[in-house]
Amino acid sequence: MSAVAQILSRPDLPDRADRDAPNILKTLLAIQSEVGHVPPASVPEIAAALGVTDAEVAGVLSFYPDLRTSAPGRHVVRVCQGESCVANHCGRVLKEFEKKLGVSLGETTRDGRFTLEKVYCAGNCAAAPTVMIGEDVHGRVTPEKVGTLLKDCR
Amino acid sequence: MTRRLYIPQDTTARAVGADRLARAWEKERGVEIVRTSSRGAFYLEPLVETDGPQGRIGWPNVTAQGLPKILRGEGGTPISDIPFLAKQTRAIFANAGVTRPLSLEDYKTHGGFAGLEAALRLAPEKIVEELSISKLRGRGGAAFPVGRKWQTALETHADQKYVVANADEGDAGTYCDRMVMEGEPFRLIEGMLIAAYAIGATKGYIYCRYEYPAAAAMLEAAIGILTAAGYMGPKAAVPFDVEVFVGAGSYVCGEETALLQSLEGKRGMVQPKPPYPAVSGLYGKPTLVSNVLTFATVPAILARGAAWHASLGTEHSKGTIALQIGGRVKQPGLAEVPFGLSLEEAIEQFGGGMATGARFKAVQVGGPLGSLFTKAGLKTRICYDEFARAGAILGHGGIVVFDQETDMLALARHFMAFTADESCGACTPCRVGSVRAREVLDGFVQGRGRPGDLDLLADLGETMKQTSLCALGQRAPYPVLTAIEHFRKEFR
Amino acid sequence: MASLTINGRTVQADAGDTVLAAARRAGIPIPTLCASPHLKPYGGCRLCLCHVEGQNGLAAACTTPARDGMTVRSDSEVLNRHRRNLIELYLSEQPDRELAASEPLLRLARQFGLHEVRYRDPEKRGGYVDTSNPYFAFEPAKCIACARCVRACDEVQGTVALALSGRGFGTRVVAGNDTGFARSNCVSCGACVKECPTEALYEKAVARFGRPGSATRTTCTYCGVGCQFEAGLQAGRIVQMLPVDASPVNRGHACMKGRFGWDYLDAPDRLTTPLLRRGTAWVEISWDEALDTMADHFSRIKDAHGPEALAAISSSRGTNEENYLISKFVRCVFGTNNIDNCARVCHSATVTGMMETVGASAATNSLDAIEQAKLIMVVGANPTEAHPVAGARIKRAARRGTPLIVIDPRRIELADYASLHLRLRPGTNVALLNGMGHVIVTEKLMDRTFVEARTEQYDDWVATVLPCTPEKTEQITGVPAGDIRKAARLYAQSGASMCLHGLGVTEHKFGSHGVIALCNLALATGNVGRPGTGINPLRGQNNVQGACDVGSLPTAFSGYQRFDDPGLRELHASITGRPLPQKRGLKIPDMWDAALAGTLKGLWIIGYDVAQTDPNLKKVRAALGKLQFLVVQDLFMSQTAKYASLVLPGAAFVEKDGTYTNMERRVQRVRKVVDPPAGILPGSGVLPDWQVICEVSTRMGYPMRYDHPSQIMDEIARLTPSMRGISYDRLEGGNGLQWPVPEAGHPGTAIMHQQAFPNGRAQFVGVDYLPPGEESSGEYPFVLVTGRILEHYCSGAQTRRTHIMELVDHDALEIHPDDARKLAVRSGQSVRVISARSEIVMPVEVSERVAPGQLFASFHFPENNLNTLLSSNADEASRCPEYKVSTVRLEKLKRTAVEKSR
Ligand SMILES: Nc1nc2c(c(=O)[nH]1)N[C@H]1C(S)=C(S)[C@@H](COP(=O)(O)OP(=O)(O)OC[C@H]3O[C@@H](n4cnc5c(=O)[nH]c(N)nc54)[C@H](O)[C@@H]3O)O[C@H]1N2
Ligand SMILES: Nc1nc2c(c(=O)[nH]1)N[C@H]1C(S)=C(S)[C@@H](COP(=O)(O)OP(=O)(O)OC[C@H]3O[C@@H](n4cnc5c(=O)[nH]c(N)nc54)[C@H](O)[C@@H]3O)O[C@H]1N2
Ligand SMILES: Cc1cc2nc3c(=O)[nH]c(=O)nc-3n(C[C@H](O)[C@H](O)[C@H](O)COP(=O)(O)O)c2cc1C
Ligand code: SF4
Ligand code: SF4
Ligand code: SF4
Ligand code: SF4
Ligand code: SF4
Ligand code: FES
Ligand code: FES
Ligand SMILES: [Mo]
Repeated sequence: MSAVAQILSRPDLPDRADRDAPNILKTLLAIQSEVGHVPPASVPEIAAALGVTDAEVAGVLSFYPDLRTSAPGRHVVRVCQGESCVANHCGRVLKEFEKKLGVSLGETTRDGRFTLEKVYCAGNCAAAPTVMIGEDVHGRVTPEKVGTLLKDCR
Repeated sequence: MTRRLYIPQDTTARAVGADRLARAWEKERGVEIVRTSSRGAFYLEPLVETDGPQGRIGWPNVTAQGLPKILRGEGGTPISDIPFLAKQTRAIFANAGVTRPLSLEDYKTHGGFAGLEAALRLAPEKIVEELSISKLRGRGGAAFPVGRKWQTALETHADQKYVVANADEGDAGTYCDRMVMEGEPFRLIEGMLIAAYAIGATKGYIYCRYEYPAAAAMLEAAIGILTAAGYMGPKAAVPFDVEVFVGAGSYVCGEETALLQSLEGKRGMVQPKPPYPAVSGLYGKPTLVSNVLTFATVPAILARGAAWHASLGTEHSKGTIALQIGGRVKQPGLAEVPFGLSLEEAIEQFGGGMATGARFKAVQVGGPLGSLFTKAGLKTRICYDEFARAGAILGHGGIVVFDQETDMLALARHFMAFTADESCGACTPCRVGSVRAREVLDGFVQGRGRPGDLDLLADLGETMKQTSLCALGQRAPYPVLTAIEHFRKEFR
Repeated sequence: MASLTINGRTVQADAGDTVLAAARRAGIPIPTLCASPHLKPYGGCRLCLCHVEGQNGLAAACTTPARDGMTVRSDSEVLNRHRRNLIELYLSEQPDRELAASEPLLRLARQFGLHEVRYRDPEKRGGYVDTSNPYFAFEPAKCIACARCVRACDEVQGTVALALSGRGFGTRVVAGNDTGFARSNCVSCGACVKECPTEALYEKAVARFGRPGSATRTTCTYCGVGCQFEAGLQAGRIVQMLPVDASPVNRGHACMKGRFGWDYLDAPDRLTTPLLRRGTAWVEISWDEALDTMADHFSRIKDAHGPEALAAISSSRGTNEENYLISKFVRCVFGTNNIDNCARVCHSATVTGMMETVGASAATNSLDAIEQAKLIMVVGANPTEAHPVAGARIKRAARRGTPLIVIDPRRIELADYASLHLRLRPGTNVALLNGMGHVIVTEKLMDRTFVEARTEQYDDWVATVLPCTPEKTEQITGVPAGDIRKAARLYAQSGASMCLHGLGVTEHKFGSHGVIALCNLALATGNVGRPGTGINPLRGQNNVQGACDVGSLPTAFSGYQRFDDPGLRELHASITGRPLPQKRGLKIPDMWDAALAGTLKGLWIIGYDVAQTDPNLKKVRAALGKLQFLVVQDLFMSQTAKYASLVLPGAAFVEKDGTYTNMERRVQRVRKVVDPPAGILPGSGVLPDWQVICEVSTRMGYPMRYDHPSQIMDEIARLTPSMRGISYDRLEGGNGLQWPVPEAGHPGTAIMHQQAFPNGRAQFVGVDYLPPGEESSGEYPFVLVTGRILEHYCSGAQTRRTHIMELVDHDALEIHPDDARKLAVRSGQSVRVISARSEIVMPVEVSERVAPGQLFASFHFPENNLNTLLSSNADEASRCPEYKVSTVRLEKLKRTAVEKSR
């Protein structure tokens, strides 16, 4: 059984607790949290399991920026581009990441270790600039600290 | 004798090293570590506190090497002496930095559930009346009178009603909802329980943004604790249960109708109103959607009385506002104050003025949909009316100060690019207009600006303001047009 | 009712109206792109923005409810400026070259005085074109993301093949998993195309031949729903069939076949010239010759062997007028009642069963009952495929919350929407329905008042159902006793339960008993004669209802009148000048027996491919082979035509005038839109069937002269009490008339039996369960059910000659995955299917729609010879064949030489 199929057979999915319609987004997030992403090829399988159509699933999958359709690098580095971070010149931090990793925003390093992305505010604005690596939030990040942050990722 | 060290568990405190301290010191003999919420004086984080004879003593910006000093009692400042905190009027954030987020005991000894108890002594109609008297307005951005919304939800008859907390906190520069969820999740849930009781709902959701994993985890834990303690669940005094739903990174999903679509698992597309969610919301049922801070304010109003709330603030803006001051100021952090002080006062008294080496250029209030103010606008008082008169909004209370190095053209482009990125696509002025406006700004950035382009932006901006379906498209032109208004020279 | 002011005019609005709806009704134009009367408000295009007095900002007319006392302005300089700016935004994302942009948008631009797009090098929308659907294409570059297509697919059709994908500027429409239309679950109903305001979705025929210059209203010629269309004409050719919004039947909706599947009209092998058999060859002849030949042979046979040696089979695909005329011809010229139509193999059991109980053989209610019902029960019918527009309406009702019970051995699409799906064993309807009756009786769920006031023989029924406990019923039907109880309670207690049934009830050895059992339930629970209730057969072919109504039956005259009615006999003689034959005629299966016995010698078959679609084909073909003279009149060289002595080219529905009667008794006009194809010889060419009948009759000494089919209808009306008030004058303009229409001023009857039944009271008739003609055995372990699929129609004569073939080009044998595994076959592989009659080879499709041990096959492709497998078992009373139960065995094909060579 594929990883997707395994998740789809979980008793809490599809979530139809107090209504008729299954929750597509919740299902996709559940798949992503275990598989790391939602392969577009698995859309028909997901649709069939939920009793909805392919188009419905495809529509939801393509709407949310945080739903991934391909596997990201081992570490997802998200440099905040929110106003507080912009005010604190996060652009310089981003440039340093791009330089150190040799990729641009949205790309994954060749070795598959890092994916560089942006985030619009992590709620850490009072300690801007902010960088999220995985679920960990780092504050007051300066270009000088970028090297150490990357080194700490295993 | 063991010394008790209070170390905040809040995301920002952790982002600047609080966890490192806790980890480094947890094995020290004679030390007991207590993880609390954060006071919101983030410029001081990591802020470590100990008990003193007259209350807590704090050590700001501590590093792992700072322990001996703390243990010796060297260099600490009584918390009550910190002007940033002392000058605030803390009601919703009264316990910030004091209590343990998941300690029911702490919560109760610090006033928790007094609001719920008071509410349960009242008939639903009376609760709604109290809220109306309190003049509380929604804190999520639209500032709609809370009493009126609850009234509608109460009066709409249905077999099922929902209470939904909007924890999407999408405005960059804001974090007060996160602080409530991470610091005092019981307060949010208490507010939702009161709402459930008042309108007759049995099911609630907290729609929490994807970027807040710690908040979501804290809420889950809090729900577990409250359920076990009999405050929630089918047999509780208010038969109500709450589910945490994590979104997937879409700013527009903070807009209430899009949020409800998303909560149903669909695309987060904005829906036309009417019908309003309080009449037909989640799964077509009456649904009370309110901001986290709005819910968190309700227990205080019930516990201390509507009159207390109505006594704070200005004529049409009652109660306190949680200002989240950030950007290039000396003291970024949360300041809870009654409505009415000026922008300048906020930046000076709480923000502590500009950061070292930085000179003031502009300030953005109200997130990406707010407006830019220059020095000339700093006298504007922070309340709904004066902001409306200035063509601005308070939004979720974010204040971001920009310094002289900020390129206003790039900033304007940044705002419009944000709108273009986050537009749901339901309506044309925003779906296409935001991209066209971004392209025009790109033209300036690339040095291809034409004389007529600013007029074009103004014309397009007017159409976006007047015709967009939701506030994202309606407000998106403001930061750009105010940037042009104040810094026209940079748009060449 | 609200009263508001729009642009200074006072306008009335209904409850629930938007400002836009009120304005439209008053004829006040407000520009819109995303709004549609068929769809829920969306508020996306923002063109309809208006000023509302006392309200800040602008309000979208399409989403703002009309309130009493409101003052609205829909035009102003400000509004027009914004509209111009919005249209400019649209044009900015459209292809650059003038011609490539959406024509309707360019028109709007002109209307609002927009002359140039001010944006430089704006990013455009995607450029590919999806042409995968045979009939329409999608050009995303012209799309404005208004989602009308997406909403139509969801709200109107209920298929949800489309979605918006991406967001913001990247918002676009995708079909399926972005796989294009053809590879999605799209059913080509065309609702999305019709809604598209920009022609991003467009019909290939319109693109190729031009937009229609004129339109003529007509009726679909496929199924019994009777959808109304505007046939759009350009340069003498039909380029479009657009469903009519004002029709209460389809309300602007349609299905693939009616909307697009008319391209067979131009098929290269359309018959255009009469063909006479000379040995093994066909010779083209003129109509004169053909008509003379017919008159000669029929007269000769009649003279030599008497009237009973002649018969005709009328087409339930033809008009009422044609059906009436051919029966008149058989009765007045042949002098016999040997006239039958395809209803025999279809809903004849309904005719019999309903006659015996309620006393009239037609749907008691209208399609509108679908929306009025508080519960819908679909028994042995698969409307989303066979009656798709009715199916879509049922889906919509179910999605709105109307409880739905589906009784069908297969998991048909409606089962997904059902509150209860009773998956009974094929052939056990009577047992199941009696079991439900038992619950109704023992739990006292009947409607006492109704039973006492309106019915007879109730006790007879009670005695029949009392022994049928749900537990015993479960043993026979395989349906859990609990579900039987639930279904009975739901049906009896909803307040208004509508029953719709199909061939899964009728095409059985005891099909009429199945219909009777249904009627018993409806009578016991008082579910007859009220809105949202009734017994409603989903009549099959476009005019199978009408063919029976006007007397193409061997057992009754027009209007189901008895031959021995003295009044009728007199009237008939006075109008036709000939006596009405008194002896019952031959039913179709009897005709085959008579032909084989040599007593039937001459047969005229109009539009019915018995050699493909009747059961036990070996027998049918043998019978056809024994006839002395067989005339077949058809659009194409059908399987039956191959046995004919003479083949006549028939005119299709758009080539003639007349009326069809749909499943809700609604008599509707079909209109001549184009001329029939010309023939090869002078004096040949295609003639409408009714003219041919007149000519032959005249040549046989009984002149029939009608200038127009309306005159035939006038004659029908004079002879038929239930249609007395129908005339073409009354059919013009409106939405047809539902019989009974007893007199000229009568509005027609939407709901029958409201006050009384035709015979006063309705009759309960107790019917015991009896097993089907064949039951699975060691030798033939599988039960084969046959029926139809969405894409093809009956013999397939028409649909096989359309571009629908690009979507589906074969019949398949559905088999459950468990059985497929045992047999080691995969979808697409062929198996040998063997019955006691014959064996055939067919490809399988593995599907959980069928239960283990059961098979399903469609019958649209003659090459499979599917119907050779079937027996001649038939319902005793009606002779409706047992199409739904045959037992077979399967064999996996050994690799054949042909397969190896691939
Ligand atoms: N696309 C398309 N539409 C058509 C036609 C077509 O050929 N193609 N033909 C037209 C004609 S002529 C007709 S008569 C109608 C027929 O329309 P329907 O009556 O809907 O058609 P069928 O598919 O023959 O059979 C209906 C259902 O009966 C079920 N069934 C079989 N045995 C039993 C049983 O014992 N009990 C019960 N309860 N159900 C059973 C089958 O599983 C099947 O789903 O459709 C008309 N419309
Ligand atoms: N195995 C199996 N067999 C079945 C069934 C089943 O469920 N299973 N269903 C049965 C049922 S319900 C039915 S109704 C029959 C239908 O079977 P048929 O009536 O044989 O099939 P059709 O394709 O409807 O039409 C027959 C012919 O009419 C021609 N025709 C169409 N319009 C006109 C016209 O205006 N004038 C003339 N002259 N000809 C015209 C067409 O070209 C076609 O050749 O099939 C039956 N056969
Ligand atoms: C684009 C957009 C984003 C929004 N984001 C949020 C948000 O993140 N949090 C929030 O509480 N309200 C947000 N809102 C406002 C909500 O639509 C809604 O007014 C609010 O949740 C109601 O709660 P309140 O009455 O307590 O303010 C947003 C509105 C718009 C138009
Ligand atoms: S303004 Fe933008 S976000 Fe709001 S509905 Fe329109 S397209 Fe969606
Ligand atoms: S609401 Fe908007 S999209 Fe709908 S009709 Fe009016 S202008 Fe068009
Ligand atoms: S043709 Fe019908 S089924 Fe296909 S996509 Fe369009 S609306 Fe949906
Ligand atoms: S294809 Fe047509 S109907 Fe569909 S969204 Fe685009 S413009 Fe609208
Ligand atoms: S539902 Fe029937 S009548 Fe309507 S278009 Fe389809 S085949 Fe024709
Ligand atoms: S703006 Fe970067 S964390 Fe809030
Ligand atoms: S028609 Fe009202 S917004 Fe499109
Ligand atoms: Mo039929």
